[in-house]
Amino acid sequence: MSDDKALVGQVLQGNARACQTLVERHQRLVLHMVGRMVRQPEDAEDLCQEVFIKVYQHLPEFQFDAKLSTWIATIAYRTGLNYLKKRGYAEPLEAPEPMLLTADDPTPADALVREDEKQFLQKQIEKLPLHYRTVLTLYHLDGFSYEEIRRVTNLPEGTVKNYLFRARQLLKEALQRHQPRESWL
Amino acid sequence: MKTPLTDQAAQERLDAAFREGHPLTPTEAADESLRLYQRLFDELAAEPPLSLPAGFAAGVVAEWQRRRAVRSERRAYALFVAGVVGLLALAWGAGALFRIDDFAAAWKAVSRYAGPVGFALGLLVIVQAADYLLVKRRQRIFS
Repeated sequence: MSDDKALVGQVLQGNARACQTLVERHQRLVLHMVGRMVRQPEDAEDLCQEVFIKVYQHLPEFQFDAKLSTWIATIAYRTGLNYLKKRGYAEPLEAPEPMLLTADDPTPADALVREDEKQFLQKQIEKLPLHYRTVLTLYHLDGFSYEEIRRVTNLPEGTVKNYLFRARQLLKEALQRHQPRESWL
Repeated sequence: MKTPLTDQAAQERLDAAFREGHPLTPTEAADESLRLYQRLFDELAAEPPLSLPAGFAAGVVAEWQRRRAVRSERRAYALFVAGVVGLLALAWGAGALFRIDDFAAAWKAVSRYAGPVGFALGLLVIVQAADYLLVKRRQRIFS
């Protein structure tokens, strides 16, 4: 936290190196959030830039009541939601179930021919509802705690835990269905 | 025969393994549910196939600096305009307060320079407009 304070202080004084450090330190987190929300890679970079512009605009208001990364993730999350709203993407936020491996999907065996298991799972993650993807990303990729995820998404902690459990269960079931045919090959 | 772990138990065990560094024992690793979850957790922690260009941070910082420059330029203009307006108001106020009849005479004396001063101000406005339209806006478009 004190490191964050020093860094923010230097950024507010206009120190270019500190600005660069702040962006480099958090660009991975912002890309994870935005990348999992927007799906179009060509829009992800613009949106990441927009997130950091907002970070810069609102940095003087940051009160250090949370970690800087949590605050930046909140901005990224809200910017992503606004982007989806503006484009009229009616993304389900919660799960219509069962939602993985629908009939028009390639069978796992087909999928295995064309893509490895890594890609298969990435595709399954993309099919998850927005809140599930966000919770998974923050927990597994960025190591956020339940409390930090609650702050970012404004969801109750119990809901965060439930979404995380359900998302992992759905993915595990997909992997399980993927597996028997894998052993034929 | 050992009963396989429930989803809840398997997820909790792997959370402990990943977050608190308690690795699975060989017996646990043989559990089908845990094995699947282990693969899933590994994949979820792997970097997704999306990256930002190498100069991304530098580009963001350049944009921040441009915005800071625009803001300080605006502040300087606002101060300048406020200063001019304030001085004029002060002059009018002083004239009214102290009933300086010479004010009209002074204005008459100064007004002979109205043409050159008006021309200079007009030129300044044209130069500022050209600077904005031809240089700054283009810089912004190409940045």
